Amino acid sequence: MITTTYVPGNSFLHKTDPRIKTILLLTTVPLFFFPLSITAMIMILILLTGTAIYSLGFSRFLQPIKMILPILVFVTILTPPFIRGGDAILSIGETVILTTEGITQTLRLILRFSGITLSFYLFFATTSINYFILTLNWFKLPYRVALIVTIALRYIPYMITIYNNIKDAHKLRGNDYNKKKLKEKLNSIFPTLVSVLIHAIKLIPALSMALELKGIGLETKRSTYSVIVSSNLALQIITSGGIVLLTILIALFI
Amino acid sequence: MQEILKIQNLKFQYPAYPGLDFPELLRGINLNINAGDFKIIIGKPEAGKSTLLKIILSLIPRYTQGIISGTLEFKGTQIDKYKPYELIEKIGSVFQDPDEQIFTTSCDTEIAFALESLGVEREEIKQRVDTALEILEIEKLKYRNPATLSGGEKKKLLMACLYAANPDLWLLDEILDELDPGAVKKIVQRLLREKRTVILFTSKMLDIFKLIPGNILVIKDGRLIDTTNMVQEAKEMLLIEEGLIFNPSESANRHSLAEITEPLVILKDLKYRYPGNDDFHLSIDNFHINRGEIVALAGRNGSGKSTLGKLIAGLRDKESGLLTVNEKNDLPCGYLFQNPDYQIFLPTVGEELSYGIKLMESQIQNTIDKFNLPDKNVPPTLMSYGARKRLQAAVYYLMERDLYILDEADAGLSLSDFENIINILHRTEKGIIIISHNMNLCSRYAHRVYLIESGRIAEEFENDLLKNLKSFFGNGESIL
Repeated sequence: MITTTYVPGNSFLHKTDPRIKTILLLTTVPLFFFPLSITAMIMILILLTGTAIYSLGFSRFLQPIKMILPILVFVTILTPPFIRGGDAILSIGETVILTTEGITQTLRLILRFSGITLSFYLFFATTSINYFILTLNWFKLPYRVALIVTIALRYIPYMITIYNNIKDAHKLRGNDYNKKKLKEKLNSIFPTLVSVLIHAIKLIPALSMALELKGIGLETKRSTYSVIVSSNLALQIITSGGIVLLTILIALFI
Repeated sequence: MQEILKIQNLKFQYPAYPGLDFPELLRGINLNINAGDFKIIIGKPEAGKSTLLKIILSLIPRYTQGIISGTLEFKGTQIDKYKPYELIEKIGSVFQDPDEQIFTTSCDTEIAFALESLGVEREEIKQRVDTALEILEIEKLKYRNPATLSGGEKKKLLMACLYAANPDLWLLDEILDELDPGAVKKIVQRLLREKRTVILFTSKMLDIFKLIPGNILVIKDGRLIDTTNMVQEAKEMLLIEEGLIFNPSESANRHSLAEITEPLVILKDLKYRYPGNDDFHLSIDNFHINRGEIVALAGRNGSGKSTLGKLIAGLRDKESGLLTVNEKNDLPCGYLFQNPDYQIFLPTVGEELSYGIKLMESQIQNTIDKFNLPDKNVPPTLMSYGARKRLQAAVYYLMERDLYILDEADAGLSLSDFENIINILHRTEKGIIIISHNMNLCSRYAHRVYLIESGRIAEEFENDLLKNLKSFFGNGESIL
């Protein structure tokens, strides 16, 4: 059984051809690894945020942000003290705690991580897995490879669902997940992770059986039930081209 | 009649592990299935039904180790000559746990998947998908993600997959367990009308099997016993001995309700909806359970029974309304999940039972005996599904909760095991909620029944429970 991050909807992003969305994704994500200015990164992130809120609504937009929030907090606390370049902003005695470069680098990491997360979330929340397989096929990826990629991707939200179910069950056995101390916190999470691991291991033969019983292994050429249907493909290509150009201009000149 | 399946002297034994020996599970199975046969193989949980199904599908010994002997032929060809993926149009199956079989993210693509593997033309796939959805009356689920379906809906989806692929032989493992009685009746009648070749594996005797006389085989001690020529009394005795039906001469040992008035659970104007899903709302005006009471929640698939149970257990946050469950206790509920593995995580039975509680050796052994569990040193992951369910119940028994919620707990347990669990958990000061489609089971143990329909309480019965349940679901398909 597999869950998915796809959110059914009727927004312009849902209607956009998945092949175009894939190209947009492949353009946006690498940009965050280029040495862009902070202003440019903020502008691209604003563009992505606006698209997410417009396509999926504010509460859906917050979902991935909530998920990465602990990592962002971790980065904010741990990164600045380790970067010594730039002017000192905060010192205790002779020990420099915070520098301008430390703040810049931290901000860059936060923007990069948020931008990449939001780009992938936008793609998978508006593209069903079937269309994703078809897109990978269109890009000439063999069916079995595409299937493996999508199964791997689908198992991430599935394991999150299993984790939540197991967490519910363990709560009823008295497991307190709100412990303050790190050691106690780890002690309460450990049994849950063990159960998740047992499930994950049991899934391997179950999934193989399911795949074989559905014909994976046959040499017959597969037919396709789902097809990519695009309305106004020319308009979509022009619009997407414009977005790519705008993003590159922001990256180069801001 | 064309011979479809022939099994001769089939024997199978799972490998032994340190501290856990498995006796020979199948000890000489003989079975002949002809085209149009509808055979019911009935046996208590762990009797070997699912193992037999997986051997027929060529999945054992391909995926599971074990010692196997005997011959299996499909239309004259040895089954082991086929790989599982070569059997799509020959043998189709629905497993006991539908989550093991479903892996796409929408119902229509799940049905279409096997047809795509066979290279069937797109237009024909579309037609077959729509027809299958229509037959199972799940058209409105066409684009739904299977992960959001109820257990019964998932089984209907897998049945739809079989209708689309149209194999020669249908193997159905406990498919009727989580289906509401109305759906059971329609499915069985349709299969009979269409003269499908079916082997139905089940651990519960249904009234509707009276429509299929002379085709009931009991799996006992690794062999199949044909009940066709048995006199009625002998057949009933066999089914009672195996815990497959209740003994009509023995009534359930229930507490009298005369002295019990202290409320344990109170719900008023309770509202709940799943985040991001506007299709389903739960809205309960009035609901209560007193201490010592056993209350059953009955209703059709997807009506909201489990959702209500999870709200009461504190596993979901209500939207509005009043919900109280013994406020003096931080953890008043024990919830027996359909899947026992959610709650089991320690290396041995003994450690599992004593997790978070200080117990003496004698208490552990006493609990093991009460719940018919293997030795305390046995790893739970190697135990059978039914034994893991009994272990789950034993854990809550030791935790002394005020309220126990048994969500489809009878699935995977024999009636005698289920009865044993109820009898152990039932105390004057505690409450029990049974969530089940089994009308006889509900009426046998419950003091009251709430009928849930589309997220609301449609009716509440205190008397003539079986009669009222039958009239709600329609007659003729209750569990004997």
